[in-house]
Amino acid sequence: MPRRKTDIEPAEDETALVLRARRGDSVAFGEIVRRYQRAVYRVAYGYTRNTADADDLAQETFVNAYRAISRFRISEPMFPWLARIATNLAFSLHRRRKRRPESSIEPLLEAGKQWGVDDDPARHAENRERESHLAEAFGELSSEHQAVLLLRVMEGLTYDEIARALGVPAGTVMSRLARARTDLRARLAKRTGESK
Amino acid sequence: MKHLDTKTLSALHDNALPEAAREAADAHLALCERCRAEFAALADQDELLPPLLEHDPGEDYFVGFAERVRTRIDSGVKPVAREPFDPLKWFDSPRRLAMAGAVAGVVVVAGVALIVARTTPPVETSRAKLGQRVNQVASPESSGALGAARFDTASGAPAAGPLGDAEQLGEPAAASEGAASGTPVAGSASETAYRAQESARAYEVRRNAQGEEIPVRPADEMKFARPPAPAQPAPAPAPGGGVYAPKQRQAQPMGGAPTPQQKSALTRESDRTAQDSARPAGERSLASPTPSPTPAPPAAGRREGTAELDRAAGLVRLCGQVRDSRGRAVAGAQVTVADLGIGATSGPAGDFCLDAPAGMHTVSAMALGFKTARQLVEFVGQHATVTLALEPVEVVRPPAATQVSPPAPAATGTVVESRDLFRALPDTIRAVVAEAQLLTADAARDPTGRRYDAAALAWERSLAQIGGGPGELQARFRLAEARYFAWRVAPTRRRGDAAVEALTAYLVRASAGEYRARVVRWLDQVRH
Repeated sequence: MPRRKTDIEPAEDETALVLRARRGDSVAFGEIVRRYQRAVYRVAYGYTRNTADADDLAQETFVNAYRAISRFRISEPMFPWLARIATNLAFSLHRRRKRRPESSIEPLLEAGKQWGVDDDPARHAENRERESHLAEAFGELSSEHQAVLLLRVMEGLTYDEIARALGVPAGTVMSRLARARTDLRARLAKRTGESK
Repeated sequence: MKHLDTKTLSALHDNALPEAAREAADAHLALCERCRAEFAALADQDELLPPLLEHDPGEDYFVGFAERVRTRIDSGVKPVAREPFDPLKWFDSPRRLAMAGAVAGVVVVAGVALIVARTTPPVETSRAKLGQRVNQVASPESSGALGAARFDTASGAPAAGPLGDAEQLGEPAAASEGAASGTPVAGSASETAYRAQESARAYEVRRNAQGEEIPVRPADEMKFARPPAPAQPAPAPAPGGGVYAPKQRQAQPMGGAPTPQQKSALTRESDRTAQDSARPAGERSLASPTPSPTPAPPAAGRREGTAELDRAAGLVRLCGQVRDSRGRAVAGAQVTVADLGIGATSGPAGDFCLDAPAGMHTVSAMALGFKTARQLVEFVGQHATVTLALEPVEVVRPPAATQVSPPAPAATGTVVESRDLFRALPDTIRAVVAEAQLLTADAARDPTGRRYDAAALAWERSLAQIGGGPGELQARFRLAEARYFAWRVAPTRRRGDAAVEALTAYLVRASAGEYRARVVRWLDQVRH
């Protein structure tokens, strides 16, 4: 699967940017934000599946990154580190939302915008129903399963990068991904069977 | 055919399998239609997810994104507001709930362990146990005809050896010998014989720092350090001023499980005894030569506050004195309320105190050299008093007569064995002998082959120390007895050989008499 981080430029001078940001250079940190803003937003949206929360989560990810930039290890890639911050924030948000569930309409409406144009109304309806079920099934997954699928399927991170982003061993990423996919498929099958 | 599992298919889809595993999986997929279908479904699912989860907010959104982040950093505002802490919601997390449960479990287990530890009685040392058992064996109740009768029953090992009762009591063994043989007890009513008996029971007299005469038993010497050297020569004992060797015993439950109140009383009593034990031997365990006309303060060291609590709990305190037939205080007597398992030990002035529920109870007193006294006492009000009189144990012959008159040749063996010749041994050897005596008593109480083996080994050590000195024949009989009963309880060839050797060694040295005849019978049993 091709990497989706097409908006991230090669990090020739990323080390210099980080060093400058550590010294309080807001311009350098602004450049880091511009490099990773789209990728971080995608992750944020994948976790929240609504634009308001995605915006808030993406911005908060960079704010936390700025505060913790001194702890970033320059030898490692930047995005897994940012993804970890976003994941932690998303998990925290998810825990709060579990106690206070919100309507599932908004994510579906947001998803509906992406369903695109389809010339065949019947096929469009079928696809829309299937994607609706898939979105609901994905939303029912645990936070850990959502995160590992998101980082792998959406962002195309390697197992090692996902391991760094989630703070778990690579072997755990492999088994967790398998379980996440199995769980998602089972939930989708259950919904498809229920609808028929 | 073993199909590919989901983990392998997932890793294969992510191109994360090692080379060899990937080739094997590809080979399997080429042959297995079912796995190919699984793999295809997995790929389809992954293809569907990105467009579903992706959202492009447009270029305008990202133009000002960095600036908004910078503003946010500068303002320090956290838009993702945290909710106020709610203790109840804190337990919504299964992990936190499990953690709280684990903590609660640990607290409960620790509490139960603490309670159990506090109610478990302190562990006694093995020597203390042995000494306690010896005292029980040597109690007047079990040392008479009953103990000897048990010895001769064919049901198993003896409750105590033929000599053991007399030796451990410090009595001339003629008493138990007479009882064992069923001979009538000779009269010992004369005052002279009684005084001679008391003198024989006083073992050895030492003088403490205050110049008081103090009798010392062999067991005391074994257990405790020798008291300081006397400051002045010890005067001769006053005629008729015999003192009684106290018996060091813990209160023993006599039957039935004690109630919590009784346990409490017992615990405090053992505390008192422990405090008593901490004092020097001369202060603690030896009777005062001067009888105290009035009872000493009840249970020295006992807190009045706990006594008040007992009384508040419905317990009646019984205080009294243990005296002999001549009105002299008997120290170290074991006073028990048999039906409740409550006990106390009389102090130096013969005084004792114990707490028991109100009602009629039989109070018994036992002391070394005395018959057990029992008296029905009514526990009424807050305090009750009683005086328990102990009668001395009758003997077959006055010790003086035994010492004065040379034994008849036909009874030489018996008489020599009957007397406690170990008393004449040095302290170091006597300690070894005392250990052998303890082990023998322990084996007699709980007969096993190993216990008798241990006793026999101890007697062998004793014999090695005694050599050809006084008490050799007595020790050889004990060794033969231990070897014989080890074989009888748990017969093995090795034990049989050892028994034959020990019995033969005794026979070649012993003169005619009851014990020699007994050994002859034993040897005959072992050989056949």
